[in-house]
Amino acid sequence: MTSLLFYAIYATVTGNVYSAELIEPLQAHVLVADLQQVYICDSLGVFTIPGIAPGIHQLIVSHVGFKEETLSVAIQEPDTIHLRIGLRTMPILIEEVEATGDRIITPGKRMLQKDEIEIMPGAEKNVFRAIQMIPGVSSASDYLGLFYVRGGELYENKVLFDNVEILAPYHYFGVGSTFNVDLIEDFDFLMGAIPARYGDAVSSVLLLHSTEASEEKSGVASVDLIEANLTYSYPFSENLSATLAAKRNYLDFLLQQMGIVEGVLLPYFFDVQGKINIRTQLGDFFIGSLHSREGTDIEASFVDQTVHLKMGGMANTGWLGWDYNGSDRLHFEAHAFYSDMDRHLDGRGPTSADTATEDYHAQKYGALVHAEYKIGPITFALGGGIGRYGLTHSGAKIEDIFYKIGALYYSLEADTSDHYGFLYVVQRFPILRVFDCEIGERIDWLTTINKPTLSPRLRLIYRRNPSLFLAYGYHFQTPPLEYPVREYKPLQARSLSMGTEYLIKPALSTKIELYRKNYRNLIRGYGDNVFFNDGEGQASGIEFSLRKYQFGNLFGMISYAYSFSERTTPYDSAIVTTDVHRPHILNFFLGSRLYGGFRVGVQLQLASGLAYRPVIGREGYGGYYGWSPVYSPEKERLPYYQRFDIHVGKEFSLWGMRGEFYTTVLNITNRKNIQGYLYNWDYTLRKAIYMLPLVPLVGLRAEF
Amino acid sequence: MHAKTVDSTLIACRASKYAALILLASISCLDFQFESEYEDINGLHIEHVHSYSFVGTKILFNGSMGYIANAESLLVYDFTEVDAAVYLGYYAAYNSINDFQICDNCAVLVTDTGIEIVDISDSLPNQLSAVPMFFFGGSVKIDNDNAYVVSPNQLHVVDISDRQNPTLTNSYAFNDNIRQVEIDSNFAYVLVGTDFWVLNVQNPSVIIPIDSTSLPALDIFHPEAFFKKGSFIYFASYTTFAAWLSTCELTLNKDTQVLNHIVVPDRVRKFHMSDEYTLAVSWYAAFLINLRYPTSPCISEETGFGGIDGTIRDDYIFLLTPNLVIFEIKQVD
Repeated sequence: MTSLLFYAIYATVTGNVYSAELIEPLQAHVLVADLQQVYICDSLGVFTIPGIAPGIHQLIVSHVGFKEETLSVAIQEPDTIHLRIGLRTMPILIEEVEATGDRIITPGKRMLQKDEIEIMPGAEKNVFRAIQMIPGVSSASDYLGLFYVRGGELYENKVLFDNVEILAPYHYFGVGSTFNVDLIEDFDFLMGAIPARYGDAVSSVLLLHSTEASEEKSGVASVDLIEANLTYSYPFSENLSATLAAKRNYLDFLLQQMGIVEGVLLPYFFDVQGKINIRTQLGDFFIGSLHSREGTDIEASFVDQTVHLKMGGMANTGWLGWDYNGSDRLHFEAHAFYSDMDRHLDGRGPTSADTATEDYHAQKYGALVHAEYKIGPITFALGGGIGRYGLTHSGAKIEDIFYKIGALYYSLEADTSDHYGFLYVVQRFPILRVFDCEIGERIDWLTTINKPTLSPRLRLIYRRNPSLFLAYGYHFQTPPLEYPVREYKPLQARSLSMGTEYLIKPALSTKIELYRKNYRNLIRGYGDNVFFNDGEGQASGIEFSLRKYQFGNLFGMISYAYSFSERTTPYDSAIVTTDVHRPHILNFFLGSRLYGGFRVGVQLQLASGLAYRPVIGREGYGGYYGWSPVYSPEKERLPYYQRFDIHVGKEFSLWGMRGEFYTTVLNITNRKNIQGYLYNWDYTLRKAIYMLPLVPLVGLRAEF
Repeated sequence: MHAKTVDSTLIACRASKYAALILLASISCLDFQFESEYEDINGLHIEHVHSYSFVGTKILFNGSMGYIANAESLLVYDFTEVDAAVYLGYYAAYNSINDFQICDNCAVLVTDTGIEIVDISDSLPNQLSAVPMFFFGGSVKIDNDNAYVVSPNQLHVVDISDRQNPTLTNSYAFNDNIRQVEIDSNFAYVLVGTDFWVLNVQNPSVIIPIDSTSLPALDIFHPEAFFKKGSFIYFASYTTFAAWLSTCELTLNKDTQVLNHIVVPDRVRKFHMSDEYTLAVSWYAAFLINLRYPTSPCISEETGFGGIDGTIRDDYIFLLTPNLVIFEIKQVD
């Protein structure tokens, strides 16, 4: 079809190309036939033809799978011309071929991609919020960006950014993590059957992958009611590029100015992350760094009581990496890193007995290498690393201070430093053309542990649809060194998981996974300031998910997890359910790209309430300050947790930039999810402390 | 196809801007709640009802009739209206009443010379029998028509099935003074000095000791009183710096274990139990004990008064300070 359009001379012609049926942008080609110049649309389907001369020009717009459109543009005087061009689908006739492929099923592994993270309400600035959508993952608070996996403890999870361990990935008392989501391409979340390459974690390993090196100058700036964020990439040359990202939240300042929360200063945090990519004939080198800082100064008054919590923290991580593909079959990786963190906290409750402080310093550095070699369908991988880890601690742990919301009578005094090392070997091979098998063995010399630990791991996958998988393995981890015990022993978990995944149709799959974990050498507490490294526990559960991958307009996931977990903890010598364990978790997430450039994401989470020991009465001398709480010997559960978030964004293209206006409303039903209870001075009354109320956020994100 | 000149992107930008402004303005109207109102932990509170001027050393009830021991007199009041008790009369005993118990419209009074059995079916009590049996009679408990009377270091079993002719069935002597005795299901639980004894009294004429425990060995020093609920025994004791309530699980013929100790405001002298509540009375404090979890007793409500003795009837606490003060145990809305 040809159209004749009369426009101005020396014009700029811009436009949007989209699919007429799906109303989706297309990265089409626009050929100015008479000038023999081709312009390519960006990911939003936008093209720009600058300084086009007067006259009638033919534009031919084409895209694979769509019918070509031809239109004529007549230019008479200076102007900017906007076009909207819809292309109709045209099936491509090809020879019928038989396609066979390997479906990569990894037991206990979950992935989320950048587009999904960006549209998940709340996850656009906190990757850990996205992780909570994964079955088997729970959080204990909207205020703390911490996550717990299959009934495990927080310190049993490891967070790696480009395979570098980050000691302080969380921001306490904040709604964000230390990572800039714009630097994250996707992530892999490994639960249970963790490959032998990764160790020193008995619950999970979160692998965050950064975005690829940019080939052109680009940046992303976003600002909303609580946070400002800037990311900029600059290619110095074809082989050298740099990326810098910074973010800072200012919710404390904003709410105080608006007078919404009087006398309460919420936390601030500030993160800077950078990466330099150098491409050489000897492989890709990269230098990365992460600097994060946070502070809290909360003074909350409740009738006749005042709770004061002051915290400051700083963390630094730097790394140098090397990636080399010797051939299609040979791959090398190596990196060296340094990471440290400092944190000081001072909390004061209603009475002079309710005080808690924490001084925490940790430092870790090391180097590791990894090599993979493929011989046909068989892959060998081996690697190893060495380093040193040190920690000094005094006072109570920050998580205890927050969850107990009361007096803590112990102080964890620790000052230790030791080397660590590990070696691993992995072999992946097919069996009978229908099974994929991976056998791995890992040896760890963990910090402060005298004897090396051996971790055999096995994964077996039946490659059909539906697929079946089985994974079994041992995992060891350095125990939390803050707890002073007579002799440290490695935390141990024996994990068995099995399940099936069925691809219902392209981009729609369902998965069921059962797991069982047995723990040994857990930390258990016995009275104030007495800890042992010989506790036990077990966790088992079933996880179901139905997932629609991003293909077309609609994507999302619904999942349900039921788990049973009992273990000793630093607060309980008996084997009991942990406070943060939620037996039932139902997650629902749906994202969609709508007509007119709108993107909508909704997220619903229903979960069992946290477990806690209520105060049932008191003991003491009586009088003011003379009372102490008596806790129930049995745990009870808080009311169920419910949170419904929504994200609505409108994409736009303006002044050469593309971006999005968005509104995110967290907890849109304003559900009063109970975090815990505060008690009055004689423990006869209590009040519930709620998690996040309805929080509306309005923001702007621009890519340039 | 006709090209459009309308700049829909700018319109969307303007609309989004206005939406953002409206949303920002509406934020200040929202009610951000981070905490709830205070609520009572156990749903109870104690409210003072009335204080009377009359005094006594012990009070018990038979229906709405209250009986108060005061020197040699057993005073009778009608407490149909709790805050408007009506004095009906008194019974004069031969000697000072050290303790008394009520059963089947009878009151068994213990004095320094023996026991007196009084008919209380009428508003004015009248004596049925008075028998000198022992000296310095202390506390008394009644079970199955047997009265178990303490007289310093002896436990006397008196058959009171014939109210007119009570007879001394048996006496069991200990090496130390008896502080308290409780009878439950054919067993007598006796606090003797710092030892705790369990006796089989199924056949009162043949008292068989079952078990004895040295309480200081359980870190229970200076025990003064106890009460039993189910298979748990709760001891009130004191040390130099604190008064305690210790929980033990009763395991006959095995080592008794202490499950926990809690600090209480004062040395408890008496315990009184109703079906719902347990009252602890000391000189300077009287308080309810929460036994929802038997292994973790705790203090639930305080009266703010101390006393000589007290009792619980329905939802009322009657406390002799020595004046009679009445409190109501109320449910919190």
